[in-house]
Amino acid sequence: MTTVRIYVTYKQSVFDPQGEAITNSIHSLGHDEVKGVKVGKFFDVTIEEGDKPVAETVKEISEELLVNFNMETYSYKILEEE
Amino acid sequence: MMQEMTPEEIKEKKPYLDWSLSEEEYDYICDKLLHRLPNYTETGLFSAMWSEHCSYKKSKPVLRLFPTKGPRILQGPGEGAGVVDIGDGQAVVFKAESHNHPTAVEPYQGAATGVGGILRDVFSMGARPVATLDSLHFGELDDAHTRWLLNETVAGIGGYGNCMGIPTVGGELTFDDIYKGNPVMNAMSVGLLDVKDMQKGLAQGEGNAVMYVGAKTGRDGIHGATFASHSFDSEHESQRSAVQVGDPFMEKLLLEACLELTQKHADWLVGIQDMGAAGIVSSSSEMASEGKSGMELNLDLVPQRESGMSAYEIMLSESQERMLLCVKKGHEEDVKKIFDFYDLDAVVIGRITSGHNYVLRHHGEVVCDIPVTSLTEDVLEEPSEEKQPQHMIDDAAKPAWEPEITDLAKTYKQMLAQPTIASKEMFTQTYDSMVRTSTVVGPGEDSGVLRVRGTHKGIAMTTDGNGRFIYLDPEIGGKRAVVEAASNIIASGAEPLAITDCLNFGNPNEPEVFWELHHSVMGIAKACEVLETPVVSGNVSLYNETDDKSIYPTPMVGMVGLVKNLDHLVRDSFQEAGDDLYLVGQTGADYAGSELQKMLTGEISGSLNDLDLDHIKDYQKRLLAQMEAGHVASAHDLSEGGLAVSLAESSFGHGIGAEVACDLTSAELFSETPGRFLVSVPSEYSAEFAAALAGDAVKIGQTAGDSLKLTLQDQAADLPVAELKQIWEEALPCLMKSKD
Amino acid sequence: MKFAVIQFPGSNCDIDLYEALHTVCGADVAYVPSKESSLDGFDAVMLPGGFSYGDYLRAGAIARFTNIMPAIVEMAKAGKPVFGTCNGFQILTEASLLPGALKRNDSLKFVCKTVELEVVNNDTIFTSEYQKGEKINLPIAHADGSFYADLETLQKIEDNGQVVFRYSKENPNGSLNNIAGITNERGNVLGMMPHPERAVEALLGNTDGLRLFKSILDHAEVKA
Repeated sequence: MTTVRIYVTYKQSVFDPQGEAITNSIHSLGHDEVKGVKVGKFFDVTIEEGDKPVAETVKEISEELLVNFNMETYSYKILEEE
Repeated sequence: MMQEMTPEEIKEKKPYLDWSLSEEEYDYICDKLLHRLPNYTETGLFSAMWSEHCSYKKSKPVLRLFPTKGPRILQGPGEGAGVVDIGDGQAVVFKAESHNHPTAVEPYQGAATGVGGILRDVFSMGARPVATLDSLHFGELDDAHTRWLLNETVAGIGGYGNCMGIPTVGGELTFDDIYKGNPVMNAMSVGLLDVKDMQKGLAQGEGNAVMYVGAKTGRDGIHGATFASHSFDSEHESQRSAVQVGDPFMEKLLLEACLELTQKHADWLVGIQDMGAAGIVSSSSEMASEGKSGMELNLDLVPQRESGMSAYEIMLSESQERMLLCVKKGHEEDVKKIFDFYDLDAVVIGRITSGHNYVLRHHGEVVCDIPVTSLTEDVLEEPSEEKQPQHMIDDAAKPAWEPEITDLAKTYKQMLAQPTIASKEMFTQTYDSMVRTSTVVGPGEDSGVLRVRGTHKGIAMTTDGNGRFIYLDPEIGGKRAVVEAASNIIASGAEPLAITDCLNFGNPNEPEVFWELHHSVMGIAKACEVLETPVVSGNVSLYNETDDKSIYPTPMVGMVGLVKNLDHLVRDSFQEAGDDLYLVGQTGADYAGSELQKMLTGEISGSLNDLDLDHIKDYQKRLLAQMEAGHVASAHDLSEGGLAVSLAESSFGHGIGAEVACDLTSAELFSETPGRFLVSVPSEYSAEFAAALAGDAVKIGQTAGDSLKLTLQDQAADLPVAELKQIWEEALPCLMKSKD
Repeated sequence: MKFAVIQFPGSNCDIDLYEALHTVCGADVAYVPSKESSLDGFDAVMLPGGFSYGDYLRAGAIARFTNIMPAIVEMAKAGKPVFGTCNGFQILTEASLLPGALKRNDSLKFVCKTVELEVVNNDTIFTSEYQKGEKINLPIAHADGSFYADLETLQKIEDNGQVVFRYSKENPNGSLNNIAGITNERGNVLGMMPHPERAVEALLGNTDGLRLFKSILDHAEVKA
């Protein structure tokens, strides 16, 4: 059993108003050293590896459902393998 | 998981004291109801069901004062919501509920689940909820935490209501320092019902099934009922933990499934009730009690989303979006099929039995076997001491405060920028007020109005509850709350029908607080009798205090009225220049508790003048008749800020100003005498209007131009409408942007 | 002409669309639950506003996998009118029946108000009853209405004349190029964030949306 964490964020070119609002709030608390915040979401997905490699499952579910490629991009890492 | 105490250990260690059951109550239960010692589960159930929130043991004696019957009343208090006949085989169904404590702790979810809960109460009657209103009272906006609470509360109301697809059409939002640690969040739901589809929370008929439908049960809000029956203590921040998370999508599915059942297959159903405070135990025991039945439940069958839940946890969980049904034997699978379509759990968890016992089984053992009524009817009412608040006695001895206004224009502009007065659009705009395309009048006017499809009728609705007046004089303040609500309804051209109420008070063990509760109910009851608006449902929220400091007694009155023909719907705003302006109702020296007093002195004090309810009722009826005859162009009731604010608000809609020349002093412009209206009448109807309202209406000028030209007894002013509107619109957005 | 109003779990402006077509326009309409798989007998399909699947994951992301979607895709391919408002627009973009995507409003808040729009293109089956360049007012009610497409797609949409409505006075959500509604290349699928079905009765204050439905009623299909 493998647990994979898939990160989904807006693409670079897409305006992220939430990230901007959060950056402004952080600045108003006095942390000018913070230069930027990007907001995204993550999915912890538990996969039982059968014939299909985990990487392929991740690619499929991301492309079919988890990510809207018009405006989002993704990456992932393996959290836990048993 | 805790090792459960034995009955003897419970008797010795008294853990129930932490759960708000008193020793007297425990002893009574042992000696008079059970004739033995209760076990851990049973003790937990008693604690929840005997709490004030579930049993109303302290408030019942007072609530009995309310008039609850009338020719149109099909269902009064005691069921999910009240039901009022509106003709054509239809009824309006409504109730209001408070969610103050959860909102103070987790405002988004507290407000969201407040909305969710009240919606279920309405559709448990077989009605489709068609509108929501909310009454909100917060501390002052110079406090960052208050701003955060307000933003999150509004987001929660919108988040839940918008997803459900039920328009939020009205409400009120006021600010006073007294609510700082104890915000008030009351939600009112209004629904429509074909009378033949009306349902009740009833379980009876030996062998009939008890079915659980909706979301799975988790550990949410355990002890929420007792949580609300307790004040906050700033030393014990950890108390603040029992908040449930709402899922409006789940509730939308639940709503549609329940309505399909009640509208198309009522013959399968004996009764239906929502699972609210104290979840399964309250709904099941109340339904059994109502049906005078016995009931047996198998807790292993309850759909659970957490593992290892004890019987106590399962019974007391306040997981949201669940309903309990009593289904006729043989139709269990039919009912399940309906809920399957919506992907909702629908499980038989028990049966109605002969006898009158309430029996719970868990893991093969009987964990509870008590008389049904020991959880409901047998709860001992608790007498309370009461004492007139000292500040009332002190104030009565002082001379009345008289405002001094040196610069009318300055005071006027300052008033429009007061948070309680200023435009609330920045918040109401985050609510979908138009979904289901039946909203004729949305947020921002005297009352929200919905059309009734298939007819020319409309239903008007409003929430009102000025805590300051009740603080100064609970009885007169109570009367004023009802008169204010009725004025808002009539201002739309609707006939007041009935009310629901949320009584938000402090600690009832304080004699002064209980006096406030008792006397405000007396005032509300009196006004409801005279105005013929019975109380059909309601809710009590006590213990709204932090560190022994109570909120103003704040009874919220939620009133519903009937617009007989939408052709004669009346709006707030001036419609044309050249219409005659009338002030309906006498203006007195009513400054105690007014927005002006708060603005100029920073405090609330004084005694209230009593009202002549019969007189008010009389001229309100004549005014309504004029509206129904089509003689009125616009009407706006006078409340906070008096005529000054009503005049300005009436001009904002279409930018039409007014020329006013009358006997009032500039102070009287801000007086808050209740039951008054600012009415504009097309000149061709003026004579008839004046005759019909003779003695109670004074012509004060006419609509004209684009400014408010005031010539009063002592001062004059010329105020451009556009300037006043800008002040009024920008006040709250400006305050909300502050950085502490 | 028979209209289908699809009901996804969580759709809540289905009644708005149904009543606009049935009661106001006198059209033949039926609700079709998204669990169904056939749209036989229907000439046009309407996707209503609301919160299908609670807007979980992304607005419209789950609805586009419902049983009814292949039939909707077939209708679109056959040139029949396919209309989506608000959540309906979101579902159409998620299903790739329309280009681009709808993201969270720049203000990050839900907004319900009436806005002014310009009818940019009246040469469609949805806008033939309007004048080109006409300014109309329609209600909006959404939290995720900011239209986004990458530069290349955006250029294509503009060049092909697929932009049908633009916010003309105030852009309430940050949509690129002030886009409020677009069609597909063929012109038979329209998605828009504003709610024309909420502006068809004088009683409710606004009838600017009525002509959109009248336009659809004038046309049965658009040839490929």
